Amino acid sequence: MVIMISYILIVLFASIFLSIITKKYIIPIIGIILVFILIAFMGFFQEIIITRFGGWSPPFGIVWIVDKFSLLMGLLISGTCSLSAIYSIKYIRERKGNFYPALCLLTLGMLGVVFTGDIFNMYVFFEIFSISSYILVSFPLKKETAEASVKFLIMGALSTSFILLGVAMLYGLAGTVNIADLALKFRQENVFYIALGILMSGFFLKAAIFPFHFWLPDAHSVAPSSISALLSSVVVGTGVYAIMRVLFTIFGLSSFSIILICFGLITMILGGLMAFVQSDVKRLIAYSTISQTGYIIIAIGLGSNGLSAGIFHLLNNVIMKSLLFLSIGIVIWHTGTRDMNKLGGLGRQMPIVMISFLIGSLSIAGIPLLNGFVSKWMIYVATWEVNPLLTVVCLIVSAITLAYYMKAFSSIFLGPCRIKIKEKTPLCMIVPVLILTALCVIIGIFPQIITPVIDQAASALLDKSTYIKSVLG
Amino acid sequence: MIEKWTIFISVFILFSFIGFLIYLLGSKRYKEEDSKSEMYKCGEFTLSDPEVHADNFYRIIKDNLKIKNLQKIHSGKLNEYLQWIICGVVIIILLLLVIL
Repeated sequence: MVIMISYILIVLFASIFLSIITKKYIIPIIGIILVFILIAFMGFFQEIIITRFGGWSPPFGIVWIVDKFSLLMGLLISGTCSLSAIYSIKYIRERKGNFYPALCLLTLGMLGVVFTGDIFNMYVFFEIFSISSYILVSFPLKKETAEASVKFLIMGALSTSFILLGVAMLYGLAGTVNIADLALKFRQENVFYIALGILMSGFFLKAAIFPFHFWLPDAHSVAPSSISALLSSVVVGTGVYAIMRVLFTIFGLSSFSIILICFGLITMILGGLMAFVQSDVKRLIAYSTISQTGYIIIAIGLGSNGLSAGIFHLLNNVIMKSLLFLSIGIVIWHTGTRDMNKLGGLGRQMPIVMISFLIGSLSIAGIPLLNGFVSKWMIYVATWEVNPLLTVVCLIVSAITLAYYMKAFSSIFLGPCRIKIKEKTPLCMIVPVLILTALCVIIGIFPQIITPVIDQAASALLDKSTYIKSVLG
Repeated sequence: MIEKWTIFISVFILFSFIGFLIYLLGSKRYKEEDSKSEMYKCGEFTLSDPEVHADNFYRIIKDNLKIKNLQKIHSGKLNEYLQWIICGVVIIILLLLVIL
């Protein structure tokens, strides 16, 4: 089983180098899909998979750990990247030879963050996927994408600087960077908590939590839709993963619980209100990402009561956001505009996209029989047990979500037709949208398919002792 | 558990209904007329296909909740973003030290 991790790395590195040398973009697409299959194959094994690089034992050597939680994240990352790679075949019209290696690097970086058992290694992989995402945001190179990319770079550099500073402080205090070893050496001292605060600030910036969220709508709205789909789903999700891993495995949640709930609440409301006033559809979905991250952060802040709900909503958010961005990407590909004032009446010309966008919108608003309802329902139940007022606020924000998505749906697909579509939508752009739509409906109707996986992931995250024992022996 | 279901579903339906009312109110007031109606001295007249722009959706709520103030802080200026980030870091560290 250990060899599987090596295969993943070999496939991704080979895809990057071969695509640069041969300039054939089909190689990285196959590579990313192959990685998804390899990770899915690892799901058949019950035990935690530990890979020791170079034969060095932890805590001195670098280890990669695949438990149920990191496996779920790995599947989400590789799955979404595969769909995005297929979608980009026609969506990206220029510099494909540069685009696909950067996409492979992004996949590698995110997988590295979720699989590594070493916090310094986590920082390195954060840098890798951040650098590749700055490149990907700038496709196609225009004034607005260049500005967004530079802004994203500065914010990203600030974020990774915070992470590096936090890691350096922890190393100075505990003399180790291995996550399991750090968990053993953690002491209830103020200096440790200052290190935690700095580290969390870096992760909050990556996950776009208030007041660290400002970069997200600027970067996500101008990036190509296939990249916006990744940024809003798995890239933000990786930041949330790091928050969960560091809090639950190293520090313990108790001290940070109230901070997460407060910041999550403000993020959820602010994202919802800002999405409400947008006329740029991609900015609207980007603000919606901020709002949904707020829900996830509140659920995580509730500890063991809400952890399953948080992980489930993280998974659903990945599916729904990818669906919304990819379906709106088709509209932008045909019309060349993101401005909802200029769009209208497209439903009759692109019925599949209209239905997919409607399902994504209703799902994210938490309408029954769709996947968003199940995770939101779990969040409502978890918050009700802590404070019913919190549940009411969550419900109000869900109503706001429904309102702004209906505005988007109405402005783009209903009413008099303003733009005539000339080209036929390529199959490679329709298929990923249909897969994601089907996932929204299937998980919504049969949530029992996915809930055992979510519960296993939550248990793996809460079971600190098994993690430490597996890594250190 | 059944009671909670009932409460949540009732509250959800209530909010959906309120949302629908807001939608009706918000969109009706700001309709833009593309074509002039034909005027006669007597009898009924109707407007032809009025268009509703995305900017006019929920305008009443936008104006009343002063969301413009929230929009102003998302100006796109990096200096202002950095100020917010520094505030955030200080608040997190202070909160951690106070809570402990």
